[in-house]
Amino acid sequence: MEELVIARDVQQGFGATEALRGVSFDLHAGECLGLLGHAGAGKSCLTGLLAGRTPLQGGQLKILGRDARTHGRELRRRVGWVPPGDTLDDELTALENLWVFGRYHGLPGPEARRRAGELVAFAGLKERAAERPGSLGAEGRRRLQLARALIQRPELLVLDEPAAGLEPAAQRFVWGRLQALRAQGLPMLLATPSPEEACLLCGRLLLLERGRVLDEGSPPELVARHAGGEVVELRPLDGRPREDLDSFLAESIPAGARLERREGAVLCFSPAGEMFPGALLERAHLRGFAVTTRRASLADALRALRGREART
Amino acid sequence: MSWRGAGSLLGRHLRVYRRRAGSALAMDLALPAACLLGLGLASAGGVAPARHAAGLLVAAAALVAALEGSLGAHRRLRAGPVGESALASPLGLPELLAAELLFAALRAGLCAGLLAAIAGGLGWLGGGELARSLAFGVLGGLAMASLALWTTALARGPEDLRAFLAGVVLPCLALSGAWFPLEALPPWGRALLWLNPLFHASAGAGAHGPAEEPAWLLLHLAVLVAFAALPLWATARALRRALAA
Repeated sequence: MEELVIARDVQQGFGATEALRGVSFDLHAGECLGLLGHAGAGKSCLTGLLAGRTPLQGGQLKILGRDARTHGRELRRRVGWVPPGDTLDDELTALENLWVFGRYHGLPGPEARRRAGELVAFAGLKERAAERPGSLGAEGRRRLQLARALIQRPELLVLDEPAAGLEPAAQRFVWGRLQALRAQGLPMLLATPSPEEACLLCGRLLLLERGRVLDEGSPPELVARHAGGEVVELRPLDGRPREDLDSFLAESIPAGARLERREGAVLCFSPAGEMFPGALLERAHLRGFAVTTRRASLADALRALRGREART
Repeated sequence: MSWRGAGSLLGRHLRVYRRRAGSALAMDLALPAACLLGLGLASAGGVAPARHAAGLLVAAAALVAALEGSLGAHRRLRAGPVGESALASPLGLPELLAAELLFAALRAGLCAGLLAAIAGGLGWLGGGELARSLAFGVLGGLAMASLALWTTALARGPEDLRAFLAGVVLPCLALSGAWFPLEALPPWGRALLWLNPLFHASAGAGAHGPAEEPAWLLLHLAVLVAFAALPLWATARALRRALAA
C-alpha cells in the first residue's frame, strides 16, 4: 500500500514546551487517519507540520514523497489544509475568497473562477457567494474554509477540528461533505478531540496525549483493547452514596471486569467480546441501583488510556 | 520568491482597493492638491512654481506610500488574516512583502501621476521635469513604504504606527524641501538632511539643489534605492516572528 506520509520520531517544541515527543506513524493512500486527543495533545502542531506550514525541528517526515524539511512550499501547494482558527479574508466576499486563494495557488484566472464556483456550491453557499465571511456565521465560515482547502485539488487533505464549535446540524453537514470526499478517495488526516467525529470519519486512529502516541488502531480495535465490550453503569436510586456499594461490587462483578468511578456512579467494563450476565443486572436492580447498560465507546477507551497514562 | 505569486497578492489588494478607490483617492489628493493649487497660485514666497510642484508631488506620493505601508499593511498582515491566509498557500514572506511594496508603489505612482497631470496642465512642469518628478516620487514612496513596513512588522499595535507617522514621516515630509528653502537650515541641520529619504527624492525631482548634475542625480538615486532595499531583510525577520506569534 502506498504511503503518503511517513513520520518517524517527529519532535517539535515551542520554547521550553515539548509539543511532540517522538511521534511515528504512516498514512496510506485513500485512508482517513484520525489524530484523537484533547487540547494540548499536539494535534495542531502535527497538522501544521503536515500542511508544510511550520518547519520540522526533529525526526523525519516525508509527505507525498517529499522531505517536509526542504519542500515546505511544494507541500503547501499539494496539501489542502483546514486550519484550527479562522483565516478567511474578511475584505473579500465568499466567492472572492476562493478565487483569490486559487490565484495564490497559481491557478490561471478562468480556472480559479470556475473552481471557486464549483466549491461555493459544494459548501452549500451558492446563494451567499456575494457575502463577506463576517456575515456567514460560524457554520458558513467553516464550510468556506473547507471549500478553500480544496481549491487546488489537493492530493492530501489535513483538517484541524473542522466542525469544532458548530451546532449538531452544522456538524452533520461538514461531516457529510467529508464523507463524500472520502468516498472519492481523497486521503485525509483529521485532528479532533471528538470521539464521535473520529469514529464517523476515520478508519484508523492515533490516540495522542501530551505529544506522544498512546496507541493506534481502528476505532473498534481501540475500544476492545482499552474499554472492553459492555459497560454497566450503577447509580444509587436516591443519588446518595451507598456504604454497601463496595461489598456489592466485590461479590457481584465478575473477574476481569474493570471498574471506574465517575460523578457518583460506578462504571463496570466487561472484557472485550464479553457481556455481563443478566443476573448481575437483576441483582443490582433489586439492591436499589439504577442500572444502565451500553456498548463501550471510543470515549471510554480514550478516558481509560488517559487515566493509565496519568498514573504512570 | 515567485513574482507570479506576488502578483496574485497584488491583485487581491487592488480588488479591495477598487471598492474604496473613490474615498481613498479623495483623501490622498485633497491635501497635496490644495497645497499645489494654493501655494502655486501664490508663487509661494519666491520659490519657483516648477520646483514647488516637484517637491509637493514627491511629498504626496511618499505620504500615500507611508500610510499604505504602515496602517494599510498592518490591517492586512497583522490585524487581519491576509498574511495568515496567504501563508497557508504556497506563498511565503517574500511574496507578501513584494506585494505590499508593489501596492504602496502603485498607490504612490497613482497619486503622483494625478498631481503631475494637474501641474502639467497648469504649465508648471514640462515633459522632462514631469517624468523625473514621477520617477523620484515613486522611488521616495518606495523608500518610505519600506521603512513603514519595517515599523509595521515591529509594531505592537496601531499606536506604534501613529507614533511612526508623527515622529518619522511628518518630519521627513517637513524637511523634504517641498515647503521652504532648505538653505535656511543651520549647517548641522543640512548635514542631517542626508538621513531623510525624502530630501533625496525631492532633490532628484528637482525641488532643490543642483539637480541638473548627473553625478548628484545618481547619488540621490543610489541613496533612495538603499533606503528602499535595506530595511526589507529586517522586515522579513520581524514579520516572520510576528506572524509566528
